[in-house]
Amino acid sequence: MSEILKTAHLSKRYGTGAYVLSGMDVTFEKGTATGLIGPNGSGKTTFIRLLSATAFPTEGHVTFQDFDIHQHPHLFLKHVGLAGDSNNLPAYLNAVELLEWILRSKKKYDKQAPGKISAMLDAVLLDERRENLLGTYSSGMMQKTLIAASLIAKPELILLDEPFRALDTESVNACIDLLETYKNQGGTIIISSHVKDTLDKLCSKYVEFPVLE
Amino acid sequence: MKITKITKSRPTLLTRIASIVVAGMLVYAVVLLAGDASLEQRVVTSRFWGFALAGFFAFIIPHLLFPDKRIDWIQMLNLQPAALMLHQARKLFPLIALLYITYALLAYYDPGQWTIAIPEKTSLFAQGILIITAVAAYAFYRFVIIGLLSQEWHEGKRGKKLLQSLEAMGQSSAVPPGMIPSLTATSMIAAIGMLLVVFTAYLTAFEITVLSYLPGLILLTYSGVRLYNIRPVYDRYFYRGNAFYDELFRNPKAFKSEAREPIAYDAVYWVPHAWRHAVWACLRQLDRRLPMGRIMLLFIVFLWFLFWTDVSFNLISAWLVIIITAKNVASYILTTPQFAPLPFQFTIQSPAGWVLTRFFVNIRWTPAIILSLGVVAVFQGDVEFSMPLYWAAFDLIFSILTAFIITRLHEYQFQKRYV
Repeated sequence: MSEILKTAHLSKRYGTGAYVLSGMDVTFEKGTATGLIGPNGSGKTTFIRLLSATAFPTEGHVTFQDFDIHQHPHLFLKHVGLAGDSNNLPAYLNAVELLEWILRSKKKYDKQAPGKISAMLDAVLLDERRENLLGTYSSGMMQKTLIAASLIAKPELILLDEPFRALDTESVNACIDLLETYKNQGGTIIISSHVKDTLDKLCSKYVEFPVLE
Repeated sequence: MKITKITKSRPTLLTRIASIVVAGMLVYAVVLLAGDASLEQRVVTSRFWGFALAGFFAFIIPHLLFPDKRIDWIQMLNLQPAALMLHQARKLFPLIALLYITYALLAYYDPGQWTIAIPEKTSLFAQGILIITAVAAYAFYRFVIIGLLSQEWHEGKRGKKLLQSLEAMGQSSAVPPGMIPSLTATSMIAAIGMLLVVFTAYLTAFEITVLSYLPGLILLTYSGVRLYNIRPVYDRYFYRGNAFYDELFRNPKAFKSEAREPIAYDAVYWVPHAWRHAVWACLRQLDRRLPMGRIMLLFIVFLWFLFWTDVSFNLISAWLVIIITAKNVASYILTTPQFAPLPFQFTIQSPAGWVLTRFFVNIRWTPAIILSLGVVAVFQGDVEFSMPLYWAAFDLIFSILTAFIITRLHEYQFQKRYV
């Protein structure tokens, strides 16, 4: 399998504090799912933020295809779907409008798009309340919307930070099925969780984050 | 009684810059007005300004008071009722101070004739600040106590008959039911404020200075006594009002059943394709939070009224500066976290794309302003046809500058904030 994303000597510290991550070399291959596991505060979220260009490394770099993502974050983000903090969505749009916007912004909105949006929201089990504004959503509904938003434009890579928090078992299973299908179609998944069991159905490789000293 | 002070909420750099721009434009507009005005013109302008401020206060006060950004702190500190009142009153001080300055400029800014008619100018200034203080105090009182009533409307305990009869006619209220008490209060405050200006003007004609202050003093005393009476139980009003407006303003649940269809994608055909998606999404959001259409209509009707009353061009220019500033600054709302969460913004388009998106959002109402000036130019002989073009140029420049500054302070800060 060909590599899609690679970190080299990646380190991060906030201000002059201790290093949260130090000298990480990880390669992610196309069409695979990699789990980031470790206890709370072990640096999983920092790592995802570095990979999504929402944080910048203290040392080292991250390469996507053949360019440094922190030198060309906008170009990189064209290829990526993100599901991170649920507060990072505009509150005055509904889920359908949000997915429509994402498709239009990536010039992928066509006659089939409304059907695709509807199918995607069905797949994550977001019910008829999808027409309500995002600001009214519960945590679980917001997580489902984030997962749908990360996948709708069929990006080459998706980065998911604790995507199953606040989801019930049925919804977790539905989302894992959806991610499995995406992976089988050649998509690459990087997903963090502090519970490894949840990821076993999906991931073939893990990056472990030890407790920080 | 010990009153705990809470740390003043620190505005972001963007908020500060936006405030400075608005204050600067306002002061510029007033200087423009007062520059070469005679005493009579100052009196007339001061009354028009009083009218405008009565409407402005009626609209802006609840937005300044609620929901409180420091609510978590306030709850943790468990402030006493009097401290809560003081905390809220302090939020109004910068605005009121700015408006005092505008009245001072209107009265005293008189290049070359600084020392002429000082007693008359002082009386004009005193009347002005009394009117805005009284209207602000009254509006403060009205909106502080409105929480319970609004919640009852919002949750269907009140207003059933009205809403049912609207429904029977195939209509619905244009706003969420919980906003109806606020709208009533807004109308009431605006009407009382305008009547105050009228009565003050009427009593000034008797040439007994003290008499002209009477209406303002009555309203100020009434509001002061009311506020003093609720002071011991102010916490009750504060928390209820905050909870209600939090639901209304911060949590968009109140807007979920929309009275009108949201703007269609094809309706923004005038925006180049590259930025159309973002302009469309921004306008959808903005229309749900702050529908500008009706506000612009009121602005334009008042503009026509000014032309009709044949006031000085300085006054009209000042009003146009205010319209253009208000219209452009409204887009500032689109940079708040609810509308523009920074990581999400970055996934949609580059910061440069956001500059152009905001520019197009800003110029949405430009044709309406130019058209309204064109209508005046057709029907009013002394208005030249170059006037609409001059203001169009002013608006376009102001729109792109606002868009650039706002985006510079928001999306362009992405890397700095997340490093």
